[in-house]
Amino acid sequence: MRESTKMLLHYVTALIIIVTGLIHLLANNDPNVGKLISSNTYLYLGNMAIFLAALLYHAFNGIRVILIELVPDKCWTKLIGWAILLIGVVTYIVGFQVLLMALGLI
Amino acid sequence: MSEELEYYAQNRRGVSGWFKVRGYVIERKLYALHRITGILIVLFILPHFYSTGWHPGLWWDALLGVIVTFHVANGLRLTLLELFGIGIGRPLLVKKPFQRPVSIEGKQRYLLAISIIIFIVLAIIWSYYAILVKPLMGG
Repeated sequence: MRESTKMLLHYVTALIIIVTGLIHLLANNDPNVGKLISSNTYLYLGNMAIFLAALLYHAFNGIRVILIELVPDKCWTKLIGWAILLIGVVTYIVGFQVLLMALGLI
Repeated sequence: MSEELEYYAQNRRGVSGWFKVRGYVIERKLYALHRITGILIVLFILPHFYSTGWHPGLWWDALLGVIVTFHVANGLRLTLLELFGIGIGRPLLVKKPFQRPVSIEGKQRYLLAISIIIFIVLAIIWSYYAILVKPLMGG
């Protein structure tokens, strides 16, 4: 993937995080609107699945950018890219599993 | 490549280079803060994933609010500037040492002021909720 595409996704996920993160905050803290969201398990799960994916992409891409800037080397850049992708995918799987357990779905 | 350019290309300052803000424009300070707050948010979200109800607690929750709202407000400014190109103006050749680049003047500075106002308002709301409202709700 081109670096410009990765950064475009970084901005897009930031905007997704603002929307889904606000829903997450309302669902867990607001007694009125939040109840409507958290009472529907699949709506809550759907929002959290998108929020988790966007948040992990944004967070790990941010770390990747910092790390490749610290050591400007082609080989290091590739290595960091793959390592971060692997850690990100594993964290998403674990995070989604924790979410399903918290909702009592598994 | 001159020696000075090569020095910066290799980024030999590393993380300490983020804190070299003295004498630079305010955007440079916001850049350093954006990175630091981003790292702090990652340090919060990782334990929050594994234990879904985990929160740092009263005053730490308020501090978390300050960190998150700063990152959001500054991130919105960066998205408008870098993704949509709003407020940066037409590129001009800078005539040193008297002319300042157009990208750090004009409309971009209004965006910066707005983002700081958004940050202050959101941080106050979040802190008020974390310190005063949530304990009353038994949170």
